[in-house]
Formats: sequence, structure tokens, C-alpha cells
Amino acid sequence: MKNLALGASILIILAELLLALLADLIAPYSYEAIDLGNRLSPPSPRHPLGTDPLGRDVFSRLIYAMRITFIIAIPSVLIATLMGAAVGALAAAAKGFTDFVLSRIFDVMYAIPSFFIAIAVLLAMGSSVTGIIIAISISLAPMFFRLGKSIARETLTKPYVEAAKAIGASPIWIAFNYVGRQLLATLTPTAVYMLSTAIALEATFGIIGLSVSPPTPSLGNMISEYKEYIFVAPWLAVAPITVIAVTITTLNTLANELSKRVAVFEK
Amino acid sequence: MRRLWINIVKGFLNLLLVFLITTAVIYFLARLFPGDTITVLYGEVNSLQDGRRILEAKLGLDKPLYIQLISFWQKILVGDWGISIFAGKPVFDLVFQRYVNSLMLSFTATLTTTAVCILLAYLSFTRRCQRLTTLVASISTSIPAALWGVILMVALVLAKVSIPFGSIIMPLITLTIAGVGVFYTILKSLIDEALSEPFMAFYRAMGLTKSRLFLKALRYALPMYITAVLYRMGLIIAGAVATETIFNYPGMGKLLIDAFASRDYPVLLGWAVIISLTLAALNITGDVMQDILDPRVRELM
Repeated sequence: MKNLALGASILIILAELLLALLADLIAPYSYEAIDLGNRLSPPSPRHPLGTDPLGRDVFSRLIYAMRITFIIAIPSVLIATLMGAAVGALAAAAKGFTDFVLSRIFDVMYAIPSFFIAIAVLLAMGSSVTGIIIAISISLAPMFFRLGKSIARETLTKPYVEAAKAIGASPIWIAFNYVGRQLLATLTPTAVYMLSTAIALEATFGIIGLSVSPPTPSLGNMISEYKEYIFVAPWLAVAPITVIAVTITTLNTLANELSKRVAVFEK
Repeated sequence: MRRLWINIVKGFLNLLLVFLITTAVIYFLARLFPGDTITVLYGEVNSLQDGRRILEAKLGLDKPLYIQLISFWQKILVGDWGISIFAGKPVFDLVFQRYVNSLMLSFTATLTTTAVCILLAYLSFTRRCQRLTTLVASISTSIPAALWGVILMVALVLAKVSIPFGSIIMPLITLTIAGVGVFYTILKSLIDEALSEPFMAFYRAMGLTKSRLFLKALRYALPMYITAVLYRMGLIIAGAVATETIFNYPGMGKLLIDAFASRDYPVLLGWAVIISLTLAALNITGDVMQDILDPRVRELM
């Protein structure tokens, strides 16, 4: 049963990644092929999810939207994880003044609602893919900093680290072999979980009109575009919402299962 | 009692620090934007460099940034929050109105969410339908708040009910549905913790009914729960941006977007002042409440 949840969630994510990767081959139409004679048509064999207000195929747009959403979510989480964890570990190792300064910087980032910073960045940089990646990683980084710091600090007090120091291991060896591996093990489930947060953030930006600018589809801006048409074509908004809900649930399940397995290791 | 005061003083110092830093950060951030106030407000006046300079002097934009910042802090302290560049009204009135709306939304949303969570926890405790309640919680967390808003809209349209835009009802329902997952997880783990304590075994041995037992466990869980929930309440005040935008509710979130869009610095700063003070104040209240509600914390000192 446990393995079923893990296997199923990995399968779903892999399938989504594959769809996103092979979008050019799978999508029956281009995401910007406008067909004004065929607007807002309900789902049919030719257009499995119907067409949107400009006659574009919703299914094709959805696949490309998944690609953009992954292109945004995965780098943002990677950047946040690397930045937060590396700086956190540095703060734990350096102690003293460096630790104080770094911690205060992240405290401030924690105290200002991350949404505010994200919106500020988006408005300053414009809603490009890079802008959104930066906005999301800034929102997520403080969390990883705290986690990274506490994990690194705990690892550094472990007897095996003491032992390694005693036989003359270099700080770099300790950093990579012990602290780095511990961070990798503990932060992997968190990073998977944060991937779902990143997708949720992108969707939220989309709804207030701050995600990638059209005609490029992202799950977020599809929702914001289609929610204007719920009175005439309510099925339009349902497709991207379903994809987001499924992806987030799957990622959360995956993160849960992973953290259970990491916890077993630590006992 | 001493600890209580130490907490309050510490809290106020923290509040001051957060306030100073937040406003400073936002002040500088706002200036990094493309498109300055003068251009947004009066259009391109480049041809009239003199006119531009006069306007800048009038709005105090010609001095160095740090002097603008210091004079801003001084003014905030004496209650002069400036005048909205865009609306021409005093910032304080403008922001305060929105603040009251947001406060109402977040307070009622927290209450309804808590009520639902207590009901769910009660059901899972007395009726052994833990699977179901966990499922409800995980469905709630799997969709972000703003999306729940869109889903509600679709549902209302399909049910042919007209959507009350601008009223508190829709954002309230949205935030409740989206909040149940997180709040329930917190409450449930606290109640489970209570159930493993010896005093619960004692109550069980006394033969209390299931509902009485639940009340005892709830009493144990509440202090920690309130602390956790208070901070989230602050986040709703600041962060219900998308929910407010969808349903056109005039709260702080929508104000933030509007102020950013029109580069209305005084309003932005007023927003930052109120939000940072609120978040810090809620944090202190959480600590103090825990002191009052949970005698053991007091005894630790």
C-alpha cells in the first residue's frame, strides 16, 4: 500500500514531465493557432477539451502550459533550495557575527509577507519567466535557510563528525561528506513539497494577472484568462484547475512518502 | 508575571525593528521600478524639465532617498501619513478603511475555519471516521486559495446562482475552504498529543463520555492552536490578494495591487506600516496569550 502511493505518484509526475517535454510532438495543435470560426466550442473528438475564446485548442495549450509551469517551478525550487541551504549551512558553520548578519537578513525576509516581495519583484522585472522564477525563489528561500541552518548545526555536533575532525578530516571533506549528504537527505522531501507550493504560487500570480504574458500559456494565466468566460463556457477553467490540483496532490503525496523513508533511515 | 512583561517589552522592540526595516526595504524597492510617480501621474512631462522639477519638489522627491525615508518615519510617528498621490485623499483614511475590511475578513475566516476544524476533529475522535476527515483536509490543501475561489465561481455559475461581488461572503467561504486543511492538521496533531498524555488516561479511567474527553483534549490543544492561528490571521490580512481580486473585495490585498500598479508610494508605505505592525503585534499577542492560557509556560521561568 505504501509502495503503491509512492509508485503511483512518481508515475504521475513522470507522465506529466514527459508530456511537458514532448509537448511539440504530442499537442495536436500549436498553442497560438487562432481559429476564429471555431470559438468556445465544447469538448469534441477534434478538440478533446474544447476551444477557447480565440478558437485555440485548450488541450494543446494545457500541455504547453504544463511545460511553462515546470520550467518555472523546478528552477525556482532548485535555486531556493541551493541558496537557502548553502547559506544556512554556512551560517551554522561560521557561527558568531556571520551567523548573526545572515540570520537577520532572512528574518526580515520572513517578516515581510513573501507575497509582497514577490509582487514587488514581478512589477519591477516584468512578468517574464525569469522574473517569476526569481519572485518564487525569494518567497521560498527563507524557509530553506532556517531548515538548512538547523540541520547543519545538528549534524556538526554528531559524534561521527567529531571523530572525522579528530583524524584530521578537512572542513571541505566534512562539509560535503557529512553536512552535504545530510542536507540532501532531509531537504529532498521538502524540496518536492515546495515544488507544489511553487506551482500554487504561479497559479496565484496568474489569477491576479502577474504570470507569464500571453499568448504563452501557463496554468496560472490560463485560469485567469478563462475565468472571465465562466458564464459562457465554464468547462474552460476546469481543465487547468484539475491539472493543478492533481499535480499538487501528487507532489504532496510524494513528499510525504519520501520523508517517511528518510525518517526510517535516521532511526 | 515578570516573564509576561519581558515578553511584551521584547515584542515591542521586535515590532519597532520590523517596522523600521520593512518600511525601509519597501521604500527602496519601490524606487527600483520602471516608471516613476511623476510619469505615472502626469504622463510624459520630459519636455517641461522645469515643470518636472517643481512637481518633484512639491512631492519631496528631489531630496536624497535616506532623507526622504527619515522624514517619512518622523511623519508616521506624529500621525501624518501623507496624501495618496493618486486618489488625493489622506493615506491613513484610505488604508484604514481597507484595513478594517481585511481585518473583518481574516477574523471571520479564522473563526469559521476553526469551527469547521473543531467539528472535524470531534467527528474523527468520536465517530472513528479519521480517513474521511484526513481526506477532507488533504483536498483542502491540494488547491491554493485563489483556485478555490475560481472553483466556487464555476460552481455558482453551474448552479445558476448570481455571484455577490464586492461582499464579504465569497472571500469568506473561499478562505474557509482553503484554510481548513492547514488548521485541521495543526489542531489534529495537538489533540493527538493531548491524547497520549497521562492525564487523558486518567480522565478515561474516570469514565468520562467521549464528548467530555474531547473537550478536555481541546482545552489542552487550544493555547498552541491560537498561537499558530494568530500568525496565519495576519497572513490573511496581507496575503488574500488573489481572493480579494477575484471577488472584488476592497481589502488590503487589492489595495496592494492597485497601489503598485499606480506607483502610489505613500499608499504603499502606509500599507507596509500597517501590515508589519499587525504581523508583529499578532506575534506578541500569540506569545502573551499562550502565557495567559497555559500556566505551565509561566512556571518555566
